[in-house]
Amino acid sequence: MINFDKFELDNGLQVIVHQDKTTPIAAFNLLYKVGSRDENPERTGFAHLFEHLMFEGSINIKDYDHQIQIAGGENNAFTNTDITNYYITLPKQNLETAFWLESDRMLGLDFSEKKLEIQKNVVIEEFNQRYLNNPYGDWMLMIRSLAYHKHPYMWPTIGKNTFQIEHIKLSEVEAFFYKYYAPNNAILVVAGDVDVDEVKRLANKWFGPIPRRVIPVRNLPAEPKQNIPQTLIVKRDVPTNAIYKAYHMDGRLGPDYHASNLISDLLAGGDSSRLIQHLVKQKKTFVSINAYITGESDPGLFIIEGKLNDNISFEQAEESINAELKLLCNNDVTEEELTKVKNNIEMRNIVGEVNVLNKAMNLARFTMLGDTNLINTNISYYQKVSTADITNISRKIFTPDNCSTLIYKSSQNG
Amino acid sequence: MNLDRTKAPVFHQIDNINIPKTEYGLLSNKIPFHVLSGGSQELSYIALTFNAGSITSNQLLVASITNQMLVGGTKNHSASQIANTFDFYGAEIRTDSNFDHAVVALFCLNKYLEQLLPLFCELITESVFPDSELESVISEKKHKLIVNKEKTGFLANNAMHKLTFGQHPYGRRAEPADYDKITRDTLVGFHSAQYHAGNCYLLAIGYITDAVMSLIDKTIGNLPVKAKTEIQPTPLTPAGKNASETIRKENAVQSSLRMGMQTIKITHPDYHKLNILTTILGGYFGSRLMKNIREEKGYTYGIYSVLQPYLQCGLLRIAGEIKSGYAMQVVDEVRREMQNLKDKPVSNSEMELVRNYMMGEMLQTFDGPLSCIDAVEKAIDMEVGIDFYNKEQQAIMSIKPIDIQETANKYFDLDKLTVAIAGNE
Repeated sequence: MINFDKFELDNGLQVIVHQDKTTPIAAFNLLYKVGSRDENPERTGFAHLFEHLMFEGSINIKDYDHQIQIAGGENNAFTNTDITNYYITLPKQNLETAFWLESDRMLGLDFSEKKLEIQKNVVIEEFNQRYLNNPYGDWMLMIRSLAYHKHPYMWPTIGKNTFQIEHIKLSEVEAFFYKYYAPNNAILVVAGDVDVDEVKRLANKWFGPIPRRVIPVRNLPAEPKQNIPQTLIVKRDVPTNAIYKAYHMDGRLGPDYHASNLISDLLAGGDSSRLIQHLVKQKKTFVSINAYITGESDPGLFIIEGKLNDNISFEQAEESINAELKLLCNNDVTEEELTKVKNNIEMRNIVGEVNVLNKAMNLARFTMLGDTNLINTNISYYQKVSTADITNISRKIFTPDNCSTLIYKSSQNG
Repeated sequence: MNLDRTKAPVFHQIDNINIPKTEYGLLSNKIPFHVLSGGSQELSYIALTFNAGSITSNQLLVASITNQMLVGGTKNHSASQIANTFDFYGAEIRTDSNFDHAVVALFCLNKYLEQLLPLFCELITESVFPDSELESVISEKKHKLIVNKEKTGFLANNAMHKLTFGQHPYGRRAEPADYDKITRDTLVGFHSAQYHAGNCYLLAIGYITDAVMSLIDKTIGNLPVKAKTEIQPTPLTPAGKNASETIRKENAVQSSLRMGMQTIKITHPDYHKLNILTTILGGYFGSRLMKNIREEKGYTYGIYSVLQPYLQCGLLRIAGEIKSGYAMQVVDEVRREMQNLKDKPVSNSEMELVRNYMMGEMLQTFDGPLSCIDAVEKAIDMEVGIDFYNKEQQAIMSIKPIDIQETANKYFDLDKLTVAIAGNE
């Protein structure tokens, strides 16, 4: 059971406090409700580039990282399709440093052409390092644009390409800040051996004076139901063939979400899972295979990806995956197998409650979804899933018309 | 209320971190154990570390595949039964090996230890290395290696190790063809010689009660003992002066840079100082290398330096993925930054920054038993014990700019730096 207190400042900032008296570390997590789904399609990669600029100095403080380090803290941030999340861990007695720094960069940034140029270069090198200079690294870029035609999940958070990033202007950066970086568009979680009244005092002191801003109402186009199989074939200079399949599924709050997550564990969670036992160990169709869900707020993707063994054709590979999915649709999951994947979720849940930063991040994410207490109740949704649910939801997801397939051919492999 | 946002709130230096103590003893069969108990979740990490790293075998890959094949099947249980049992209880079996050691560990809820420890022991005593399982492990690992050989980072890293360690086992790297030479018999022989109670130690971290220890003694404390096989370490030879290699990869959009230097062992009294110096050079976001190469020039997303301990020596390692065409310039910058540290003492403010940063980092490492598993394992593996971190703490608190400069002059011998670059340079 994770305890928490909750309050809201006059300017709309939501604050969650979790007390954990066992740790000398305080975690400070600030979530902004803006991600790459909020981007202009001509300026993809923007939210993430912006995250980099947040570390380049705010109106009153030039050297964000230096101030964290000198207080014995560590910090980082990530951007995904849904959110931009900034986090700090530091000795609990230095908690106020985090309030000071984060409130100043919510108040305003010290923008400059030079900083923008440098961070564009850094982000382009990050794009190169992770996606282009990495065998198979570009598959997610391709599968998103194959699976989505309307919804902005069609591009990845890093952006569609580096050209759009190069063209971002300083005026756009400033506009983006005032549009999304506001107290009424953020959730603050403070966790550790902290006092709720003290957190209230600090929150009011540092964040209280920041004015509420006008946040655009999010109105994203829903992705229409896919009704025809999508396939893309590419050839790349990689050692072996690979296949990627993406099926549309529920968003994080959809009724089928938890069962879908359990299905991905049945297929590929651990060495005893179906795809690994049947297709890697026994039939040796694949050298490696994985299945997982993107877990996004809006309807996301159920992904199956595998690297083919030599002498296995794409047809054989697809057939073998389809045969496994058919088994799920034909109600062959036993109670025992379902208990196994539920036990795994329970273990991950317990391990997730060890680290104070991890708890702070989860509290922020669940608050964004609309119910902070999901941190305690989430597990019960998994426990409720029955074998019949697994069958029904498998039948719903795993239809050919709901699938986008990327055939990733090796040019080295003839 | 007038709030002065230009002024930092008062912060407090951490001057004393409570490094936990490990309990030491012997199980019934004389396996030495180290126990670190704490935390509020009833979880245990129980690891057996064997002297079965790659230096203990003359043939490449034998040590790592033997280690990985421990879950490949025993006399009584198939690989899939083993996987099913551990997965059913939400437990995790971790196998890992490096140059010096090989470890097999069980991570699970305490309430399942009674069911799982006997099977865990079976992995060590009764593994049979079935052919079919071996075939898929080899196929998967070989494929991974082939993919890795496409990665500039992997190529540069291998080349740097070869340049730095030459023919010594620390410099050896497997090629895909080495997988074809692995036979079941070799693994069986290696397993029988290395994986026994006379050749390992036990580490238990987590919610370790007396009941847990008694379960451990009933199971692991019963593993059969054989005589320890003593291994004569291969002597190290120094790297060639200014040794370097460039691996050309035309379609690469970035260049991987790896630099290395053989240096002192973790047991050397100067090791702590050298570690702090390495942190100043490239061990954190505000380091010299990150400031220069990323924040001022934008040539990289990240570049770092780290001091890595092996049993026979230390390795100073520098790594970064660099914008194509700029790798040589970055090499010069790295050398310049190292030379700067030899020429000028760091300022008091930089000294304070790195002191606070390192203390904060250590505080986080020792935030509960589960977060310090790696640190404790490293200290025991490297034969310095957990007290290493008390000494590290003292060094961080007491070091002065002049010590940093002296250490740089003593150990930053730029002629000994090896340089490997892979990319379109």
